[in-house]
Amino acid sequence: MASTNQMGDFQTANTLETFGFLPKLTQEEIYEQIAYLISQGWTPAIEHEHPASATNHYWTMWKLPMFGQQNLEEVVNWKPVVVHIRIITSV
Amino acid sequence: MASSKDYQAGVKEYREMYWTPDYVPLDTDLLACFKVTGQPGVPREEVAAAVAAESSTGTWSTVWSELLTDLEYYKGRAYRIEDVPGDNESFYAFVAYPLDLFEEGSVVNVLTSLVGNVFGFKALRHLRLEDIRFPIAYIKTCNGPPAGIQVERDRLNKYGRPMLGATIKPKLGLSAKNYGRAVYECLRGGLDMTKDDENVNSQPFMRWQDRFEFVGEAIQKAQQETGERKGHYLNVTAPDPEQMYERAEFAKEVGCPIIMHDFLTGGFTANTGLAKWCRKNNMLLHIHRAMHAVIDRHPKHGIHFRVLAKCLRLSGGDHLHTGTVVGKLEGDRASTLGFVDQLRESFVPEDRSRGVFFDQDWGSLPGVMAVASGGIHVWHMPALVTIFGDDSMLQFGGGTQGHPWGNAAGAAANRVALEASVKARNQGREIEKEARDILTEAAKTSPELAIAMETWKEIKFEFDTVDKLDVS
Repeated sequence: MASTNQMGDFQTANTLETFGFLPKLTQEEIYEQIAYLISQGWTPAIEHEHPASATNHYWTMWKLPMFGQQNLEEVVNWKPVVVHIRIITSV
Repeated sequence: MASSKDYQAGVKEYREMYWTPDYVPLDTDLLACFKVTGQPGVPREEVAAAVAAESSTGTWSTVWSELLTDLEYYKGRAYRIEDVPGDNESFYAFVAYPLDLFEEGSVVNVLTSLVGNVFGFKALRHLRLEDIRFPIAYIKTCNGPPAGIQVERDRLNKYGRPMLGATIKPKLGLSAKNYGRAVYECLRGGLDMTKDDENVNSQPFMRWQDRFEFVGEAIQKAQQETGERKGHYLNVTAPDPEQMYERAEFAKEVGCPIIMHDFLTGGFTANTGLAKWCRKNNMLLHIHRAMHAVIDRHPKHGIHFRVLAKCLRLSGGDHLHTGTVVGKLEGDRASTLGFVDQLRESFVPEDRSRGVFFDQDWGSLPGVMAVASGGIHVWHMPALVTIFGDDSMLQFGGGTQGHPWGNAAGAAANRVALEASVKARNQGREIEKEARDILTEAAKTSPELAIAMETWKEIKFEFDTVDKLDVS
């Protein structure tokens, strides 16, 4: 067993589900994940919400989902000017 | 053959009535494939016919009351015999049963017929039920999983990745408050859910009411701190149905989204009842499979797990343990994937290379999340994500709570390893081959993962599988 001095202390964080435990994704890495969801035949969509309400099921939807959109450039240039967004998919 | 109005007492050969090689099965027939090992000297057709007879309308002697019904309508029929690859002693017998032999919505009734007295029949040395094709007409009479995979994801807000869990250890002996502490630490550290060990019911050291209350508090606190939805499978397996339902009600009252049941030791009647209760009460149902290896491990006798898995999907459950392929418990990769498909897909085609003997149409029956649990740790993560895909629950008991810094750090290590694997997969990397690179890279920003990789670097479970698929 590690001595108390060597032992790390895990601090609980407000991680908010998938990818919450990785370092912040770079712009390029976000594009890669969007490219993946498009390649799966899914529809990209953007939701945004104030952090205080981030645990709600429903966030405000930014316009409509991008049905049929295959072009990554189109998707990444299409984002609302707010601080807290999540990218979701619908099958 | 005597006229149907003419009763002749005595013993007939089974094959006269129950071996029908020209029969073309109906879409509404329930089909079964048995692996049969007869006593030496008995012809295959006679043994196959005996299995069909004894699992349907037949008995050892002709009886006069057979003439009061239409046995041609109700009998099971052995319609095909096949060699078992690489085995001269056994053969496969395919039997078709008319739908009216079975009560609607009752896997209990199906199993009582198909794996009832026939398994003790003297003309057989061994008998194994390898697969059942349930007709869609029968499936539509079953309730199935209370919620299913998609509804579970929506309720719990878990998308795009497998879920993470752990069975709380030590499995016996903790007080309720200490037990709740172990749960809280796992959940705050990044697990989505924790699990009662199957042995935990309501023992003198920890009565269920105490456990449920402390676990309820652990879930609420972890949810508030992480902004994530959390749960713990409260085991409601009980000595009798009345107590089972009482425990289920209280689990709902303390705010837990999921309960747990052991479907084989508890029995299919209890399981189906509990699944219906869960549907009515918006609760998820996690299913453990204690006793399965007694039934499914011998390659020539018993019931293959793919049949038990199909029966569970009909009886109802949102999660089912399937083995890990890579961990400490038995499980061949192709065979495991064969029954994982049966849990999750809406149609599974016949595929002998996975041990699937029939096309199976599941219609709109919800899917069951596959649970991989037992002897797995962070090094296995890329392989587990590849094998089981997103619709799975990966459970690291020792692999979370055995972390040198404790449960929360162990949970975080697993969550980082999982998310790094999913991220890399989505980037198009071959994560099983590149496992070491992916984990090493992720560990640079996670000291918890670095320590976990160091702790478990030498642990492997490499024994040969006892129950292998029959392949030539």
